[in-house]
Amino acid sequence: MELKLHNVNKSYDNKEILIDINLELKDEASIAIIGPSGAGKSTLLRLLSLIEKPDSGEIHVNKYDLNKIDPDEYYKKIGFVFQSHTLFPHLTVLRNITLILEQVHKKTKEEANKTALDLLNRFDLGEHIHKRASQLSGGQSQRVSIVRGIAINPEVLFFDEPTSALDPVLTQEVLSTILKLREEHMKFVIVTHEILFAKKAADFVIFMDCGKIVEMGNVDILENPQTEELQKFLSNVFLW
Amino acid sequence: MISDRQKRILSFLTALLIFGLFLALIYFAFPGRKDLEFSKFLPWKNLVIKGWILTIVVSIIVLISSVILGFLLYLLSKSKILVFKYLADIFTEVIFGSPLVVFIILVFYFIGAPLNIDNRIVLGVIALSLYMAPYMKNVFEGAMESIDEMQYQAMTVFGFTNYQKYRYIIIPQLLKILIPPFAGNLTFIVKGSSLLNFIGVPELYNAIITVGSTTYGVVEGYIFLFVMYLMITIPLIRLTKYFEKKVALWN
Ligand SMILES: Nc1ncnc2c1ncn2[C@@H]1O[C@H](COP(=O)(O)OP(=O)(O)OP(=O)(O)O)[C@@H](O)[C@H]1O
Ligand SMILES: [Mg+2]
Repeated sequence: MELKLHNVNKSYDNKEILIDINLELKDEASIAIIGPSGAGKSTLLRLLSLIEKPDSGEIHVNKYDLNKIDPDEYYKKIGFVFQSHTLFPHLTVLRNITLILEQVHKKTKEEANKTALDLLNRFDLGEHIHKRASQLSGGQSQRVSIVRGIAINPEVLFFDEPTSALDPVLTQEVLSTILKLREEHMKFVIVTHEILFAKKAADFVIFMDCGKIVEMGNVDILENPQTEELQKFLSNVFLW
Repeated sequence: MISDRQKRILSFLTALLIFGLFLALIYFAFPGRKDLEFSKFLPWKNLVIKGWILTIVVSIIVLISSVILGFLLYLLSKSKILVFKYLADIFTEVIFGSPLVVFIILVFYFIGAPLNIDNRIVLGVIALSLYMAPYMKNVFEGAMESIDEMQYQAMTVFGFTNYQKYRYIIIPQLLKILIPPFAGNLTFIVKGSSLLNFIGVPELYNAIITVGSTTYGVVEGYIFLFVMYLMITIPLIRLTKYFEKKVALWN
């Protein structure tokens, strides 16, 4: 995917959350964003996915200029997997996926069902399709969220800490699902606390702190961090 | 050994008994009790029952129309156009600050006459519906907050239109959350409808007071009122509790 940010700023209540973010990436398949809590990672992801707009600056994702594109057009090109609890709890697993395909992407009921069932089976969720979303375990629920994210065949999939609400076993379950996506050449941007996972799954790593990109580069920077901040962050992470 | 359930039933009956004894005590301490004559109302029972039914019908109509008005008011209060938002806010505060009876009478004079509505029941329904709308608005607000902020972000990023968001995701979830407070407000409406007496709507209160004063049975009338309102409201309150429990389980 192509990613271009030019002097991007974002504040909430006069508090600067993202400060002059600049970035130019061509053709990276998977990008991991890491950094301490409050660094602005989720905020950056919300800007990239056009859930919110920056106060100033330009953002390009692939060929789309996010200041110019009609948001509804853009939303049809991307997928998003949230931290937790964003399956619609009153709907079944199957309906959580077909609703989007039918209503937003104007697929027929048959097409939508077929797409959803194929994907759910492929991700070992076939036995749960008629359960309500509120009846799933955390791990199942996140895997369904992933299927929902890819069902529309997005150009880019965004993940915001998809495993941070899960215990270690379920985390592995979800992370292997994401690795599987990588093998299938899905392009994604993931915010994650799982450094070992980032090493395996990402081509490019962005380390953020206090609203700025402090260090970024090929995934190797996780082995050889150049800045003191990233060194410190990684050593703290590995203490756990 | 008695089970938990039996224990609860036993305690409930005891409480009911104590309450009954207390009422009986009050009744027997009432000096004028010997002059009370409830059978005076018998010849008028049709009028009273008609009033009772009118109270129920008016309350249900008001429930429906105030839910609709309350929803519109909610939409106004969430409008990005600030004038609309402030209109809703001002209306809400004015209503919260006004006694229902004053509001009913003002509606009678200032909406009834200019619009040429002389049907008192219609005017009563209008007054009560307007008065209840901000309460319903609050119910909507509370329910909307119960849907997680992340769910809204999800709806946005999946590209649902506003209509689709409400039709498929928000309203179906809300219905389950909204039912208990709606039932609660219905109790409020039933009680409030007694004030329609002041503009001459022949509902329960009006009917019984009329009969009471023609038959010199005012005190009997109030006892009847007490019982007949409870006959509507107690089941409603029970129903509200039942729904509340169900919704709690559902979450
Ligand atoms: N909608 C909002 N309104 C006000 N402040 C916000 C909002 N969203 C985020 N913030 C603030 O912005 C800062 C960065 O938040 P953000 O969620 O982007 O951090 P993060 O890097 O994702 O952290 P975490 O790892 O804890 O998820 C935080 O201080 C947060 O309180
Ligand atoms: Mg975050």
